[in-house]
Amino acid sequence: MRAWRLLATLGAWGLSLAVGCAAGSSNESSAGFSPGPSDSVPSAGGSSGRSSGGAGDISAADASTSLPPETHAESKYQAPVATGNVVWIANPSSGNVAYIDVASLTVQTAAAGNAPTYVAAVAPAGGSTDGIDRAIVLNVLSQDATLFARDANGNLSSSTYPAVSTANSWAISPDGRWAIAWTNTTLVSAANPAQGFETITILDVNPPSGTTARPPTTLATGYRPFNMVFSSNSSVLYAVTQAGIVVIDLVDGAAPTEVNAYPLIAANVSPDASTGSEPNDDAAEAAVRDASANETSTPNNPPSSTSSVPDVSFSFGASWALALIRTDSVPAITVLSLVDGTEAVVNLPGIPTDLAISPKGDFAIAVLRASSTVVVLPLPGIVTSPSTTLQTVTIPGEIIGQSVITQSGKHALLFTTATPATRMTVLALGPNPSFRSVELHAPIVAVFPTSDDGNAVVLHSVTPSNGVEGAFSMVPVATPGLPNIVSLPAPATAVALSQAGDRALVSILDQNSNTYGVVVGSMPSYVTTSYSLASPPTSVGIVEGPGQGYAAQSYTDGRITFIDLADGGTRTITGFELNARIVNGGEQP
Amino acid sequence: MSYRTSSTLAFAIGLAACAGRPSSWDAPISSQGQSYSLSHAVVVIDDGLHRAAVLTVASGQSLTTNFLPVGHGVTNVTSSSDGERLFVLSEGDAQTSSGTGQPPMLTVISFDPQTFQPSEVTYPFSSPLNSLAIDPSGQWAVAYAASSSNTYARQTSFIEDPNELLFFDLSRPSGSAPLPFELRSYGGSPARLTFTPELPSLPGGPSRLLVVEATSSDVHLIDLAHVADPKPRAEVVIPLTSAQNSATITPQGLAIAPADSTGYPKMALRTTDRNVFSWQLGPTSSTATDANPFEPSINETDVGGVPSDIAFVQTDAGMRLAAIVPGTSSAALVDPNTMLTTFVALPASFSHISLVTGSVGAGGGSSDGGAGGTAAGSDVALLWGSNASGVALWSLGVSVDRSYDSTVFINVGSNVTAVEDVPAPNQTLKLLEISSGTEFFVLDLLRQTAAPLNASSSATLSISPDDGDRVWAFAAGQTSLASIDLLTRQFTPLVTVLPVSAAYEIARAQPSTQNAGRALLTVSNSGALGVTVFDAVHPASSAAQRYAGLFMEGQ
Repeated sequence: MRAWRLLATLGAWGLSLAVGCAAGSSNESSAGFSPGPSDSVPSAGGSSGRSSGGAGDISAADASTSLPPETHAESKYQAPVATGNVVWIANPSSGNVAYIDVASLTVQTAAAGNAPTYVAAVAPAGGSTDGIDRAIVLNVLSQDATLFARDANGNLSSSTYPAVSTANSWAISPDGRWAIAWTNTTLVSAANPAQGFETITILDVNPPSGTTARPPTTLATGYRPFNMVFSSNSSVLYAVTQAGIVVIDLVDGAAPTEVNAYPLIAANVSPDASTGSEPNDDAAEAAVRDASANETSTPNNPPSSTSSVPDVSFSFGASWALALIRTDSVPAITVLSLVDGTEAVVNLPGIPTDLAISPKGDFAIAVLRASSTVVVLPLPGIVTSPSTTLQTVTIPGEIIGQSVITQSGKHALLFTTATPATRMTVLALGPNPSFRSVELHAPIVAVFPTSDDGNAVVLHSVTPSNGVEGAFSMVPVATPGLPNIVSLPAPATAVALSQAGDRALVSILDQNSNTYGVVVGSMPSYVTTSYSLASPPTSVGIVEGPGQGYAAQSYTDGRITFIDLADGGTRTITGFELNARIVNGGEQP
Repeated sequence: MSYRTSSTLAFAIGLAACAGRPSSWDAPISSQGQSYSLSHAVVVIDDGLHRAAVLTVASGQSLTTNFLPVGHGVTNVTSSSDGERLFVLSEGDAQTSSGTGQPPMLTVISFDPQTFQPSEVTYPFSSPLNSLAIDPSGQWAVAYAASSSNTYARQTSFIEDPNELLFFDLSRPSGSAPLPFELRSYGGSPARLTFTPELPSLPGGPSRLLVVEATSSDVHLIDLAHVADPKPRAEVVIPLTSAQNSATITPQGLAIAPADSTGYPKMALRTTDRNVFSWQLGPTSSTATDANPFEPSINETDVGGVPSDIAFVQTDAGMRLAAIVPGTSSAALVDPNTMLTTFVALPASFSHISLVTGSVGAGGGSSDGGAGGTAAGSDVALLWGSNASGVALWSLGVSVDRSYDSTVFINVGSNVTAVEDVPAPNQTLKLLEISSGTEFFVLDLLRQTAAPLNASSSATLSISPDDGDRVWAFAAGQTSLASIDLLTRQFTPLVTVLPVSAAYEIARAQPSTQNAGRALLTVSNSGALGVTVFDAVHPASSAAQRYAGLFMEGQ
């Protein structure tokens, strides 16, 4: 549900640390951050310990007031393309897509277009219901798309569709019917300001039984899209662009049509809005004032250029469709109803550095880094009562800049990537929230909670030494326990978690030392097994049915390693591009 | 053929007196005539007079010489693995406008099993070729054009088609035409041909294949059962690089596993790349009627470095492909079904692997750990190579579970350049040749000992092919040689009058006598072919018989 995501650069952390230290030093005599009890004081399990290592020498308040924006790297690490029992791998150089039956580990290849590059699984959220595995690939050079469908007997069929020339991403509707080829401008570097990348192609790739597929439709959305979101019933597409949210009706009328557009405008918050009636906590209020004073812009003086691009999250329910808009340096959240266009501004007791919406869409969490506070926004209730008293929780002594909400919505994992902080806070949500902070011993890059809420996998950055180039931790979430950090001989590049939440695959890659591998972590035992790979991993994933993890690798002739998650056995399949070139029989030349 | 004289004067007189004499008078003597050993004979090629001298010993040290014609312009000579036949490939004469001149041909020399009388059959063909591959089962000989280390190999015509194979059915009568087979070419040419044993579980029925390793990153599989079809079935071609990979990967050697517990035959190929290519010959998915019923499913496995040797072996975890990687002083054991690879650190940088299971018994060796105490049915391998100062016995029965404890190193203090097998009943011995050439070792696989033997100058070794009791050592171009008892390492010095170019121990060819004893023939290329015959079992210089000028038909 998270939108605007900036990718972390480790180099920036050194700068962050330096800035943080300077701020800490200069703030020695300032008012500083004085955490106090909130409306919902944690009842138990709180930790007041300070960070150690990384930013450990910087007070939370000192550090958090002048840090750069939070970065969200989770999407960078997840790219599995598996459907049912099939793993799909595109090879741009050969023009082929390899599809691997994970049950038998047989590999076959099929011709796509020119330079098939971006693959997406085309399936309903719960998986295919007709026994057909579908995947669609963007052919970058032929500027089209190829849809593959493999039936239960292993027979493959393919169809070709048009696609926009600059497309680099797929958005697949929850019901698996619609595939949107679009240009994710967060993945485009050095674009000219005149390049808007507005155009998208809408493909009806799996129409309901008894209906005819709608012809491909190409539409212009808005300047520089950075997210595509479907309504929960897949009937409406929301194209989130820097210019605004474009609403496209997919099912009514003769063809998909743009039916509305909402500009993204930062909440117009009065200078004293944050000192308004909510929250009625003097300490937090003071902290907010301090935080505001240290920001580079004020609410009435919106930040320019990049920071003006808002963070848009969506919440869909039976009777509501909301877009929640967070803008850097604005101490409020704008809640836009996508049903009727009404807008509500929710003032916050500080500037939110992050906004996350629960998987069910029934609440959102705004993180106020300056005051180490989270604010819980009930949805959709906040729309009708934006001035309602919000539940806030302050985490004393910790730097928290962002949150990740677990699948059940029962926990939020609080941390920061803006400074090399080594601590993470597990917040148990509910009427009486409680929290505990854990020391992870290395700066946090990304956090991945397991689907069962039991644990989380945390990726770290490390200062290379003693053969250690990376690390990840497995952290208990639902139950108290000690985390386990795993040192790695190369930085982590991808993460995959099993549906059951009992296995994590972490790929590692260091081109300089030719170190390639996969580490399988078992939870809750936290036992890890390392596997060396012969070539650089490009993605890892888990095929749930056969219980196979896989690591696709960059290799000319094609290479993928499967790991049996039950017994740990591996099998590497290499050269499936060669199999496609075997010549068998025929008459003598 | 007449007695030839080397006298210039006599030559001049003869020329004046006998204008129009046979051209054989003018043919140079093949002083470098290559000699080949068969079971009961030594054959020396006299290319100048287009003949082969077949030397047999019937009784005592009595030498019999038979001359058989061979084709003009010998390009390749190869003996069969059982030592019963010699194959001589010739390019024929340059064709004249009148069409006269001998065509290229394959001459096969063999012996009557009762009389030991040699005879030849010939198979003419049209375009000259320079290389031969001989079917170990004796059914086929395949001629092709390739660069080769063979003495005679050379490009044989102005234009040649390197992808044409000629299959000679050796059961067919003399004069029969060979069966042509044109390889699908992807830019290369055949570099190495391997006949597989029968593959009992090959889809489509048991059959044997000819595997052709080409120079340009591909491998061809030809079903020998369909070579003689009226419309021969084309081969299966396995590419070693993808269409986008411009690298040249040159095949370097093949390993074959006819069948394992999973049923289908498996093959593996090492190349100039660090990946080992392996494939299983399962049923084809092709529906074409002219497709082979089998089709390879290829896998590549990175073994950590460029392998110098590969072999399918039986380990404690089942069949594995063993790849020896000198660059990392290690071996990789690849599960051919799962591609799971176990790396085994080796005590030295070895480059070759030889299975010695048959010599020491499955899982053999001692039972005190190390290279012994292994799982039943598992292999024992001998590792050696030019970069190791010794050899190692590798117990594959513990190579997966206890790889750290699977080798025993036997240090001989020098680089081993060759390992010679010793025939039964002394098969537990191996002869190790050392890079210096003046020293060699008798390796006892059971006792895990290596006893040195020294020579005063660089020696050439020849093991008795009969019982492996002795080895013959001689210095090329010298007149000294010795018989060495491999068990006691006692030696008998011998001398010849003629410098020794080669030495061969053969069985006496005495009609109606099954075991007439054995003789040693030393061949001297100086002059017009000289031979000295010794009794091989009780050699004595005083009892030896010398034969000179054999190419001049002297006795």
